Amino acid sequence: MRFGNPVALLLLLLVPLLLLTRRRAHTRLPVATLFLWQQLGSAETRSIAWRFRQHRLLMLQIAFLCAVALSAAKPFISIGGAPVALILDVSLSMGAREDGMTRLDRAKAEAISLLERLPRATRVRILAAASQPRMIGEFEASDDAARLALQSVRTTDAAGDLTGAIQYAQGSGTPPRQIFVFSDDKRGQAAGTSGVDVSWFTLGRASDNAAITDLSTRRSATPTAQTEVLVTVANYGTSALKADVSVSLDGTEVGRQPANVPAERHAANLFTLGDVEGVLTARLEHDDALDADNVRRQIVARSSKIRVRTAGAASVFLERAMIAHPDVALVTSSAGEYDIVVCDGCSAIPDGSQNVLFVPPRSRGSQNPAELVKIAEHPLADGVELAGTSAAPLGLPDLPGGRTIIALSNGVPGLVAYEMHLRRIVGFGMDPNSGRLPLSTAFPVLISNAIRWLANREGTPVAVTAGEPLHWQLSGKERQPVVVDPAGRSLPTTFVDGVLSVVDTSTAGIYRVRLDSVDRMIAVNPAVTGEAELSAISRSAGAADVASSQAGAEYKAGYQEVTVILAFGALSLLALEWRWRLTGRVWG
Amino acid sequence: MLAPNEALLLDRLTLRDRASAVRPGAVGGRRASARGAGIDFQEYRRYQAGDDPRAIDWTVEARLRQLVVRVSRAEGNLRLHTLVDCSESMSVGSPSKLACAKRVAAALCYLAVERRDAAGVVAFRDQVAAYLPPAQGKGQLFRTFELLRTLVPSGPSAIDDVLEQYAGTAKRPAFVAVLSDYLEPGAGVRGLRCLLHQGLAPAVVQVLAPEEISPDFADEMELVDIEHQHNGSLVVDAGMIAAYRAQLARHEALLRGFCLMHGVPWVRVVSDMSFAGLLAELEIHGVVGVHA
Repeated sequence: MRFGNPVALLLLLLVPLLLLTRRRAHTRLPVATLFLWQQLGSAETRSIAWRFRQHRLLMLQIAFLCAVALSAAKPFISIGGAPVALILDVSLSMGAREDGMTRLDRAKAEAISLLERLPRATRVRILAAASQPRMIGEFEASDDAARLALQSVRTTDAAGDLTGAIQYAQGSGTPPRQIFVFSDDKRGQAAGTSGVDVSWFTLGRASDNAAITDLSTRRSATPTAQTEVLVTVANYGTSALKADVSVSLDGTEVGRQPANVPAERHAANLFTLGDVEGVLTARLEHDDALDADNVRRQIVARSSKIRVRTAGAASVFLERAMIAHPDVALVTSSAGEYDIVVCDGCSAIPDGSQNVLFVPPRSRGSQNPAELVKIAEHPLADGVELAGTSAAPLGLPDLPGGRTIIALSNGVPGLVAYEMHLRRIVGFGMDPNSGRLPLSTAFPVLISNAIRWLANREGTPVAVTAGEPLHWQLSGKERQPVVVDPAGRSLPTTFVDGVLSVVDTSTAGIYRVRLDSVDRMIAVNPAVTGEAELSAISRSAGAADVASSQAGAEYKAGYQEVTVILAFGALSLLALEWRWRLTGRVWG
Repeated sequence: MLAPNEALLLDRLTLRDRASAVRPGAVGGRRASARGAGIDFQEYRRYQAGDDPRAIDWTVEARLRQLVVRVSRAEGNLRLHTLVDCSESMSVGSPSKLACAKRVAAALCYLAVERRDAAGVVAFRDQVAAYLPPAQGKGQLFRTFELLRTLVPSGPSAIDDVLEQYAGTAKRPAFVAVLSDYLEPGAGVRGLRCLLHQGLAPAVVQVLAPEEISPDFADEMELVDIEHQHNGSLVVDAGMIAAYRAQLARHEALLRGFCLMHGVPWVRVVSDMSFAGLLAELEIHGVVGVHA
């Protein structure tokens, strides 16, 4: 029960005053003996009815006073029914430390305090909102297990999806009467849940923070095979940042540079390393509110060329275009290992599991070159300008699977990309020796895109953001792989059609994929976008707004004001008392 | 103690004869239960050596040729012990129960003295407070009145203990009129039993106030034991009056049943009764009778 005007409860002090006055009002009557009355009392007072009859007028008066006091206090009583949901934001920013406590610690304290205020039998559904909502459990408000469950919640390195959590809370079981969200002012993220009764507990305050927002590597095209590491540091604070950025490889520091970042600006540091391989870690040596975003990792794989086997007599233009690609190594023998097959003049697609670029055989009396028209966006067409180019169409066979026609030549498909099962196939339905296409700058770019797409090195990522699902293209020969998180725990995975999927990537660090032949690693980095900017509270809401938000985030759905009922009850009691005084009877 | 018109009412009355309470040999006109030198014939019996020859009934001897002796009932006077409860509880009522008890005691003593019986007064609370031994004569009447006049209600009562104590000291035979409210646990039955056991002839005069018989209050009332005020109080309301009456009736039934069982006169008088009413109650219940 809550009171809108608890000061009025002081009126209850009139009750003992009434008892005192009633005691004084008794007329004392001397009698010869009490033992007859006492015998009478011992027999009669055993019944509750007698006790009530004995003091009914006094009880009426006390009840009247209590009813008046309670109605003046504007009480709200709880009414049972649907549960309430508590959603704890466990995104990266909730790990920000202020005054020795993280925002999540404050959220837990507020949540436990709310549990104390809820009616004991209220069902409480507790959820954690990370990149994906997670149900902690459903408990009674008085159950200690609810408090233990709240205490067990930990922050993640992912971004929080509050909208998804709110929708999940509504959709799982009985819709909750009220949803309480404990977050650091990410109200804007829940804009899609306007029809839900959501109460917000805004936690934390604006803090200065800096983060490494990007760590990228690039192999230089120089003969010395250097690796360039670009570390981007963002300063979300209100003062300039001066700190060191260190880069380590497999735990050994290989570089350190000072980072001077003005307030609310970004800056990048470029490190040049040798031909390195391993786990590259960039660290911002700075003590700020959020430590997790000061580290970023990347897996650097040793440079390897794309091995391309040419089958048939490749066009000289085609061969030159492939040689122009620095990462391509042509393999002429079929005995060695290769990644891609380029078949110029193949009437059918070569057997095997390798990806194929094939060009249909050129026949005599082939058509005249026709202008090429790009009709679809595809990685093959990135940066390719086909306007003004022409080539003689050769005609491509129809292949099953997903087909993307990228360019037309004289109305027929000239450039087509297929994806069949795990194979990628590029059909080049144009004569590479005719028209203006082989001589244009678009041709080597087009062939380079085709080689890169067929090599499919994007299918094996080396770094993802925490909370994002991880999909890894593996060969179909692999059996069920095992994925281990940074803490060494095996994660649940799905492995369908050669694609390994891991959903739970909420913890930043190095994940290991244990395959039959070899282990692979992938770096999961904290989600800094929208999470590292800890001054967002002050920007989106003033201190007064936060306070009002806190005050409004009270349990209200289960309460109903009973002032009118109590006032009516008080009047009824008053009427009964007057009836008693006038007639000597309360009822009947 | 008695107004002249009240004395006139008493002139036609006398204490009812109680042979067991008459002291044989004393001066008085009452027949004792013992055989003796009275004029009332009681029985014949065979002559035995040593009998007074004057008692031989010669007419019987002439008819039956047997010597028989006339036996007469002894004569004597009544010894009245008037025990008046003067504890604090007797102050209840208007007029008080003690005032009523004193008038009844005065009337009984007056009747006794006027009929050449002996009358005495004992005032008691939780023990005997004042004692005037029974005696005859007009002077005794004034002494009893004087003693009665000085009695004031005070102190606790313990009627059982007093009667038990008095039964051990009183001379037999005697008529013991006990004037009290008997509002104690046990209703004084134990004390009355002791009187009977000692051969005394008790009579119970229960004096109650009107408000004790029919309490009348509309609201709640705080009752205080007038003899034990420090023992707390009891808040009652009008709804308990009926139950109280029933409880009082049960209490009276206990006392009355004992009296009926043992032939003890029982009179209940109300403190606001008129003197004539008091005498009527005494007459109805056989404590006094019409003087022949």
